Amino acid sequence: MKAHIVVSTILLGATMLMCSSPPEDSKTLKAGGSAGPEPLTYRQNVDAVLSRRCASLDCHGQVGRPLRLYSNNGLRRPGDGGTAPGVGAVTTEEIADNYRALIGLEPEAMLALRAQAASQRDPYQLLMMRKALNVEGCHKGGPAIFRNDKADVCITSWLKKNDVDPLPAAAVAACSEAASSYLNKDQQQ
Amino acid sequence: MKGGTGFAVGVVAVLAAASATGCTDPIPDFAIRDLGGERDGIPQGEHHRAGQPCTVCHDGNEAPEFSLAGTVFAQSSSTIGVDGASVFITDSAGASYTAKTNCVGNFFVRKQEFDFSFPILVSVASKSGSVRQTMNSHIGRARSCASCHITGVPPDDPRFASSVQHVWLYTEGDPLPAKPACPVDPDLGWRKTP
Repeated sequence: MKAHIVVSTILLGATMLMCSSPPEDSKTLKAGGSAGPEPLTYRQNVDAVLSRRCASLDCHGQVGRPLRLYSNNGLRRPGDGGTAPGVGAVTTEEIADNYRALIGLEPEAMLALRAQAASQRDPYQLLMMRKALNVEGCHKGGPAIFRNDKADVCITSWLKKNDVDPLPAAAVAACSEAASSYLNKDQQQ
Repeated sequence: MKGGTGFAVGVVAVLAAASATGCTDPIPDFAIRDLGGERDGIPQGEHHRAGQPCTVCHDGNEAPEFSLAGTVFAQSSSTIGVDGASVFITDSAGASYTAKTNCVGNFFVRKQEFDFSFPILVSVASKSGSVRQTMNSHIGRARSCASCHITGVPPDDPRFASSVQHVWLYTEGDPLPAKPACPVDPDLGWRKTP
């Protein structure tokens, strides 16, 4: 009986230790503005890239995925007036929900990224980039983007930019091209 | 200490029972169970389970592994398979392969025939080549068409927003090819209700 109590106490303590978060450092996590990267650029330039590369019905166009994405040819937002996969353009609400899903994937890491000066930000530390690049080799279906391809340039430019300046023209062009093309190994560099 | 010994014996007993019953992965097991039994009159083989997600079983564990498989039906409003349709597959490395459907509309690509790199682009064409349908999106990871292409999901079904109708080739009203000679009936009997 005594052994049970000791073991249980140790296990409980270990569980509490594992589940506790490191103390917040208000200086490090101070976000310079909104919690996530600039949403207008996401809406105008980035969402279409994710729709093309990530949001098919068999991938992130499923409600059960950790990153759930709506798109016009994929998953549709419930209650959006009869939209179905392949029917109707992507809606403003769907894009907004996609943005929230992206930011919500790793909120603390995103805040930490945003707390850095724009020139210091390393978007490749984010899970969304590591998964898309299949860095750890466990992204189902393989990489969705390649390092330095148009989609990578588009997304990382958005993640690195400040909230004031517009997306550079080269990045805008990259977004446009990535939104109209599929992953191609010829793009791998 | 008696209590501790009893607990340990219990744990061992549970583990032994689990092993004896073939402790397997419940997710694919439930997916196979949910497919139901074979259709009457259609034995296991190339003509069976038209319209179902083939690689639920054909994953190399339960049945020979397919890299891609599915069924092509004539129209969205019915489940009549298309014989001799071509399924064109292009992968992200630029490699391509063409599969053909059998008389119930089933096609399957074995791993040793074409082991592709996702994502893939797919289109389907009639035997004559005069009719062609191309997927609006790529396929990112699924190896069965019916992973997403599900027949007759009603609007109030939770799957409505995350699935599309079965793969079909001919637009409603288009002339259909003559019914081919087939050892089984290529018509599964489903019709879209108006």
